[in-house]
Amino acid sequence: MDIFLSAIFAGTSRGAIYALAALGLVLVWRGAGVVNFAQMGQAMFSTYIASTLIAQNYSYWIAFVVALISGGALGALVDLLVMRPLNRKRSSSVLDSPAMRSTVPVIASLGILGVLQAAAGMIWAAEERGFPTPVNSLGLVINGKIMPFTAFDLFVIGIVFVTLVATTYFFKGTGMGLAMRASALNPEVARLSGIRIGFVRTLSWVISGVASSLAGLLVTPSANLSPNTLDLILIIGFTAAVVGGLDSLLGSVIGGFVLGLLVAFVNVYDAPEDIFLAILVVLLTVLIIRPQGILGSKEVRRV
Amino acid sequence: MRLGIAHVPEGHAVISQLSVEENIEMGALFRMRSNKADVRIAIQEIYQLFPRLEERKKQLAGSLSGGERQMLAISRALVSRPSLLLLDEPSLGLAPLVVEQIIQTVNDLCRNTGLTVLLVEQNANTALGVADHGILLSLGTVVADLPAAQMKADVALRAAYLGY
Amino acid sequence: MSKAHSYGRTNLIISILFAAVVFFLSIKFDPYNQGQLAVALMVFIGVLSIVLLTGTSGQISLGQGALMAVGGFAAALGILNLGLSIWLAIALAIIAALLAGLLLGIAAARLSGPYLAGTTLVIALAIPSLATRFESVFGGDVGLNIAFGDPPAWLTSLMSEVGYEQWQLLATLPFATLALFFTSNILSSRTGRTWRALRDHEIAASLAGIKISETKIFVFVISSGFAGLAGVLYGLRGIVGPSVYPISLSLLLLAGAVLGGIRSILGALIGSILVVFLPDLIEWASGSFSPSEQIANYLPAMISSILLILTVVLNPGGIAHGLHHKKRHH
Repeated sequence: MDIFLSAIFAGTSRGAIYALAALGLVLVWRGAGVVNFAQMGQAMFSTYIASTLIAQNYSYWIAFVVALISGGALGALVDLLVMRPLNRKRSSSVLDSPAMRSTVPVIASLGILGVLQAAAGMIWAAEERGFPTPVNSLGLVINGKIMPFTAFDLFVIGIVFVTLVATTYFFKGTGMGLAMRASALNPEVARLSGIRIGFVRTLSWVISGVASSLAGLLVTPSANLSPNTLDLILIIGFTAAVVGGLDSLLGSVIGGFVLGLLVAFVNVYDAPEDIFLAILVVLLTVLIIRPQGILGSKEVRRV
Repeated sequence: MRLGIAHVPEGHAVISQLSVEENIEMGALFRMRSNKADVRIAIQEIYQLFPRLEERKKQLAGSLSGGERQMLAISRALVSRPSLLLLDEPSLGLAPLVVEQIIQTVNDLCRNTGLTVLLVEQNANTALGVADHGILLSLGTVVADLPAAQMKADVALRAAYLGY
Repeated sequence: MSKAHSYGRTNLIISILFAAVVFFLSIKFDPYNQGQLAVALMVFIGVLSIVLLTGTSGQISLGQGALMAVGGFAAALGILNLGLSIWLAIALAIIAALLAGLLLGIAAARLSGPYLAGTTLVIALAIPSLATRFESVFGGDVGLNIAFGDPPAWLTSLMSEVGYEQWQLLATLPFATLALFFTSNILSSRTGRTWRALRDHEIAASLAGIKISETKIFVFVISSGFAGLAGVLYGLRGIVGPSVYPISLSLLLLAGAVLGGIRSILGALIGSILVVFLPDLIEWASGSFSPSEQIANYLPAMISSILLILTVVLNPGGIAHGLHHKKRHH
């Protein structure tokens, strides 16, 4: 029973992080029509910045905020330097085919990932780092019994919850959120309505950058940081987003938790090496049975 | 749009996945910050103009009929209180009765508020029925530039270009 | 039929010329560069798989490295457990890769764009993890050892001495030539046109009677065969193991394809040579700067990533496309 419980808790707190990663992916997908494979690379980079600050004795929270800001800034840079010029280029014959048009941003984001990883390697070498947690990371004590999860786990779950609520309210309840949804769904009509779709697009990149930095910051205390450690989170985040529905914020969060639990259970009851296989099975199952994801809408399997 | 010109392109351009409300709101977004109260008034006026849209406020735009979608597209343009409204082939794909309705509503709006409308239409009969002035294009060249009443009266012109 | 024949003849001539040039270079190069050229040829075969899959039929795959692994492991098992000769093992590798490609195609043919990319990425990570999972069979992290072995007697008597790297190069060459020949035939044939129709006008193609899913799967199968061949040759350099076929290998192939020109054989060749020789080039160019080791380690990755971004943004057709402004097959 104890093992079961600890799997559940581990799954939930990891799931929260996957939820954040998935959220970031969905944000850029809905806001800019691109699946950003470089996302966790951005997170890795800003988390390294946080780690450097902490190593120089700045408080966790200052480093936290700086990391979030740099994550957002990186997102904006990616959009302005790479994605915008990419969208403008229409004259190459290679881009005449719809298949290539959806492929090219993927390749661009892979290139960005490479740049970020190489840059991190150059600046900080491949040394693994970590940093401490802001709240107690020992097992919580409830009624005198040590529970298999920590205050930090609760912290993580809490942050994800807050983020989800905040982003949902933002999208459904504010004018800017409406502008973002409109620009993603139908840029032409949005532009005609006077919406500055360029600005809106960049904003989605910024928000997504912040969300993924958050994921990176929250996972690092328990797993060491190196240029490649967050790759796994990208994969799982992607699968979570697909499972939940690439165009649904709530869906991506649900997907994150589902995958967190899956990974935890595979870890505990099976072998850690099977994680990738398990993820693959889930991914393929969803894509075959319900390609739009749990909460996705049927129309949107945009190519 | 920010210059006071609102464009309604052909093909009732609305965003199907958003609700009627949201589509209309979209048109006013860029004015929201400066003039929230007036936007609300503008939206109310629109609903008075097109009561059918108010009935279907929360529905997704994609579930509306063609005529309703055209009304929605026009509403979206109007909510920004433009001084000039560009209407591009509003009658495309719509039943004549619906077209009449819409054109009349827009016409009334013009008379009441001084809105200028630039109407591009193939359906000359309907267009000339409400217009003050007409410009006739044939293959890209201006063939006639007359007050509407004159154009209507010019039988030869009508026969040659307008087919009635 | 004469048009097809004339294309076939041109392709044959080009392939023979290719083989001749590489052979000539093989004699002129020093052992290190012979080894590099051998690797470039292996990468070339792998990049051809991407030219066929992505450049011609428009399906992106981030998992070609995993298919290479399939080929490598199949051959390794064949050699070590079944005692097969190298040549039989290569054939086995191709067959295994074809089968893997079939499975991959069935799973992926309905996907496109980022869904396809993400799924193939997960597959690319899942397959090598199988090797560590079933350690007893696949040798775990350490991997299995296979090798090209010594050059055959008839060759050494013909050419006096044949160095180790030279033998690697000469053994790889016929396969690379065959791969080039097959690819050029596919590209200039009706099959190639069908695949390009998939890429450019899928709806029109299906209306014209082309069976979309079946064709897509077929492309996966064929391109996987190429990848498997590349994989076994790659593994014959010494080891077959998860560290030999990491995810970065898939990305390397993709980068080579995009940089060189994802639609043409010439692009594949240019791209392969570029990505393989780039570290050497950088080392040579930065010799006067003597950067710190930290920077030097990551410089090739940084430069190729930047080149990738620049190519995709400025010249998506790659170097080959830039060279040929007039369209030929593409």
